[in-house]
Amino acid sequence: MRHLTDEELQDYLDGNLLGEQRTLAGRHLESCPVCQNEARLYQSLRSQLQVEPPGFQLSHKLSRAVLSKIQKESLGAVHGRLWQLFLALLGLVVCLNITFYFFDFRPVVKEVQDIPAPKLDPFFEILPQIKAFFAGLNMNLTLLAFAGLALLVISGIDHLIQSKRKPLSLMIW
Amino acid sequence: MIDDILAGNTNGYQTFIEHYQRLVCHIVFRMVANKSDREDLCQEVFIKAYQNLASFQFKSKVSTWLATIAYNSCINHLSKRKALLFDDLVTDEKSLDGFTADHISPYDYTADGDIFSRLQKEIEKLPIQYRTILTLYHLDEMSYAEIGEIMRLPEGTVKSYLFRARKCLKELLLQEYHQEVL
Repeated sequence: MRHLTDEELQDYLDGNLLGEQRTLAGRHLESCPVCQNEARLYQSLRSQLQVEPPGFQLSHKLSRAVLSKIQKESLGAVHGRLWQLFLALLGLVVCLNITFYFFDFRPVVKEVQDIPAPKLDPFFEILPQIKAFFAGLNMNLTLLAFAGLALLVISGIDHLIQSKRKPLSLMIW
Repeated sequence: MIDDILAGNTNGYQTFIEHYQRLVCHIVFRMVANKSDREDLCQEVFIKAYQNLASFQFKSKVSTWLATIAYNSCINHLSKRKALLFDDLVTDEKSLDGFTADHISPYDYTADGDIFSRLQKEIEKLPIQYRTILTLYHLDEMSYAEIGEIMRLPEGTVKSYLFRARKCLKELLLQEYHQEVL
């Protein structure tokens, strides 16, 4: 009489044997004391493996600690982005000031004003007026306004990307 | 629950953590021996899960997805600490030959230790994949397919490792005790 192999025994106890295979294994187990002992051993092992070891417990404060860390990280990310924005703005202002200190734009503006605008469509018709409006403004102010607008667009795009990546940071931002 | 959390419900995530912390704890505690690292790793797993919640596709169970994060975090942690030895990862169908004779030492056991605590010590000596599979299958009642997804192993390999681990533990216990005690 062939005894059940370890695999067959484990399969039987796991419920992996079905139909005729299960019936045959069950019949053999009823009549074979050797296999009964093996099955008892495996059954004992299984029941002990299903018990959670006593040290496998986390502190009750885990959820609070995790939420606190998440909140800190989100706030840190917001602060980091504000800081980056400030530094970028500062850098831009410094660069513009250095440029204006060494380069005089007034002749360039004059040349641009003198170019006749081609009358192709309504937009080009109002182009000289736009040019005249900007020429009337202080050049420094115009460029700063443009830089500010560019920064706003960039930060808006960055914000959209970040909000896709970290959905909840949107709430704090 | 996920939709609630994504909508900004902080209490929802607290419930999520409380619901799944047992699963994460099982994986981390079974894989990482250093007690001081365990709690930090569990926190890290839940933070990673939170950050990636929006990308969860609902193609698998949340428990499988979270267990995968926990398993990968532990592997990364052990690799960084160089605690993951090459021999600790089972790379082929090699058996646990030699494990039995070398690992049994009477000094490993305390005089008053019961079978359960001795069994836990023997489990800790098994290769990392074997003990993770044992935990996921018996403690968390996961299927071969789910375990395979978590550990990126074929179902057949999961089953084979599980059988080998249990056979090995049975033999280890038999060597130490009379069958009647068990």
